[in-house]
Amino acid sequence: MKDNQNFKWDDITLKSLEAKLQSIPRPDVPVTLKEKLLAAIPKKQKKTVSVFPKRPGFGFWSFGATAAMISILIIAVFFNFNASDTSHKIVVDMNDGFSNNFPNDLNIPLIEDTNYVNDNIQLRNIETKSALSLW
Amino acid sequence: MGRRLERLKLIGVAKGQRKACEEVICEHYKSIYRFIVYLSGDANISEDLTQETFISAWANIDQFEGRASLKSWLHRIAYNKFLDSERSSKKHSDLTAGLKEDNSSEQKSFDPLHRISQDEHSCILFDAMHKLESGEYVVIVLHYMQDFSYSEMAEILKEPVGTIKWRTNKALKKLREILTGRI
Repeated sequence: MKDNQNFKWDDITLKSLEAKLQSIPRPDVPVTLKEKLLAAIPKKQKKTVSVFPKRPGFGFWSFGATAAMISILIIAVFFNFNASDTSHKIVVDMNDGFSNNFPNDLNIPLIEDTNYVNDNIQLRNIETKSALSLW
Repeated sequence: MGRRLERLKLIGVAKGQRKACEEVICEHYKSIYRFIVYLSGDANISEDLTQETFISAWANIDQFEGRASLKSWLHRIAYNKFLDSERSSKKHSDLTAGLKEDNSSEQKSFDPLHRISQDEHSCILFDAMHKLESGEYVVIVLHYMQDFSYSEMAEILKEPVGTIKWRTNKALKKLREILTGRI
């Protein structure tokens, strides 16, 4: 109380003003208020509250991530489709001295899409799948 | 950890568990009531608005996103309720300006601010605070009398933290000038 009487507002610093503000007595709360509030609690309500709080901008990021995943999938499918069409053509010319003796029948199950040109053994269009198609 | 427990309590409130609602009331009703008392200075209005705040909170509990604390969210509702009541009472007073009666005979049954009025320094300080603009007054109340941090105040007032800090500092300096008689 004595401190209060000696106190001069003219000399007040921001620090002491802050302290003064914090020391202002808190207003009284009516005794009946709590009872009134408890009486006003709704009987039943069915609402949903998530256990995990929403993060700011979470919707935007989740949308972005989903869009990125979908676009990657589309690109992967597109390349895979193209890869099956792009065949590496390997021409095997076997017009050597052994050509006539080459066992034709044995080649057929081993090599796919082979074309025989003339009677000589000329194998064309051996399809090999690219690394992308395997991926 | 505190946030997690608070969240679980909220789930209880959403499910209509009475115990969870009671815990929320017991934890926050005094703070809400005092905040409205500081704003309105009227016991009856404060009591009504505190009740309205909690009713509104129960009704909109699913809209609580959890970015702010429950305390901040409730204070935000209370502040909005106060602003709404201010607007409606202003409208009402405009309509009844010609029919104004003397209400001084009305006795106040309960004065929540009587402890402040009993202390001379607090009284002077409180009077000086009322000379501040409403935006300055509310930041002083929230920060120094309701013990909210700047980020919590930003959530309540829906303004950037930097703006809140700047305004609080400005309000404090202005309050000092009022008290030293420069304003």
